[in-house]
Amino acid sequence: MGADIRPVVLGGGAVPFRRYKDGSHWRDWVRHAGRAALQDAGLAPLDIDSLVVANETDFISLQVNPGPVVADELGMSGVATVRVEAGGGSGGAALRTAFAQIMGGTAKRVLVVGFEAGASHLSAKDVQLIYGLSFDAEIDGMAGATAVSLYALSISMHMMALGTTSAQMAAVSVKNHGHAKANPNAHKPMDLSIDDVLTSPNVSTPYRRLDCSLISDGAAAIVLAHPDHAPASPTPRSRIVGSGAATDHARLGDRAEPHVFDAKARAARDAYAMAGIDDPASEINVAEIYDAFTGAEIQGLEALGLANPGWAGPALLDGAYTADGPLPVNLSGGLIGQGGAPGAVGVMQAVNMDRMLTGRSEMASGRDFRLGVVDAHGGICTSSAVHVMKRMD
Amino acid sequence: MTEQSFPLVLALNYHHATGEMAPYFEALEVGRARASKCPTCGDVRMPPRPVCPDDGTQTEAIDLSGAGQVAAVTHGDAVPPFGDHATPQSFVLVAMDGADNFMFGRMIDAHADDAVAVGTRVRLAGAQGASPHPSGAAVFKRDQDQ
Repeated sequence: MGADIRPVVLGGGAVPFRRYKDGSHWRDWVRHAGRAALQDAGLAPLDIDSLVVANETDFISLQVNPGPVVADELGMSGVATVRVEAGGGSGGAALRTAFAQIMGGTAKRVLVVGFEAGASHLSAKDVQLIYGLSFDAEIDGMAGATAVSLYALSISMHMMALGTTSAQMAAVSVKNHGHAKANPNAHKPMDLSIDDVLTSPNVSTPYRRLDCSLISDGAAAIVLAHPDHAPASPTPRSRIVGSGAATDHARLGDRAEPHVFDAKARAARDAYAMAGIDDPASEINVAEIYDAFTGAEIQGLEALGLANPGWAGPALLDGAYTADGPLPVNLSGGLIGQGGAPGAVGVMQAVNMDRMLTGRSEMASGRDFRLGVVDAHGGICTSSAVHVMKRMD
Repeated sequence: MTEQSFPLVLALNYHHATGEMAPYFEALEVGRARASKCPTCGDVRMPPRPVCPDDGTQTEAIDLSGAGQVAAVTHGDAVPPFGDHATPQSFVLVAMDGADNFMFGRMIDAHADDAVAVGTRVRLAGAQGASPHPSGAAVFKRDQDQ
């Protein structure tokens, strides 16, 4: 067996997920996030030999081929670059691209930058229209499908098949909004009760307003390196020890079980195999799960093998996934509390996870986490990327 | 830093083709169900799939009755992004008779106090007025024949 060359995390940076009304541009956000990541890594711009940019849609950014623009903003023009897009899972797909570049030997130090101007650049109605194209745009999107209607149909079948309740879903909202209070980059930290969620206005049954994630602006950046090209560090580092990706049918109705996130289950299986994980529920200490809606966290917990089918909901009400529970989930607040800037989410998950694993985050509340999973998907879990991160000894 | 933002309007006019899905859309607009059937494994899909998702075989066209049963429903006030629809709206996944999958669509005449339920028999209703795209005819009505 050859040397273990799975990528080391050298550093990360971000700008808070917000709705920016200060006249700033996404070019400012990627510059600030990217420079923070380089500083955290102790690297200069020209130490980077590959730039991977995650961004969901130029309908929002008004920038086709953003890679060279981001390179210019960061003072690394000349670097190899590619833009990666997989809907809301763009950041996760970008991580996997960087992982593959390092494992394949085409890059030594990769800067991954994710960004989205989802909240400030267009009206909510226009953003909803664009995000409605994230599914099978021709067949379902043009028929009126939106993210909330498809996620609502999926979770309603989960409720019928497995007994999941609205109160269980509300517990996700309470938890994630509450967790966000420890995250200075979070868009909507707040204290809520389950009753607050259950009495918020209906959006699309069974989902109410407080079951829905946010549409945010933001950017995040992370530096990954081949272990032989990672400068010595006096402090602990983490590395990506497993990567998996998979797809599901683009049309929700084409899936044998529309309430099951099968792409995530298959991506996780591959990531766990690479990481040497046999029993994720007992081995993984902490998770960042793509909670586009409250029920999606329940579906994600089950697909990731962190809960048996039908058991994630009851465990949520028991506090299993809170900051002081046995398996904290979305300590950042997730998309519901931290915010949903699609191109940036998957990158932000990895930045937060690295900090939690290396004891550098208030979000960890002083707990000792060694092994975590980050999970991002596009569409209604149509494309999935799952990564396992581990603190290096 | 000088804070500045300004309105910027981008109007895009597409010449949008339906490609080899055209027969599906033409049937949909008059309330008929043009589905696909795999000659190898017999898998039937509505809406159709040109290649069987189970074994990769090129499928053949098959007509279904256009009737089916609601498998999932969601109801709300969100305005669909395409077309000029009043709220509230009910969207459904329908198990079409004879098909092995579910079809996404919109219920006509949705009312909050009379939302369609899982198990309700429905039928394709055909195009309901002008729609910017023929998928706007993916509309169901309660099946009065049942």
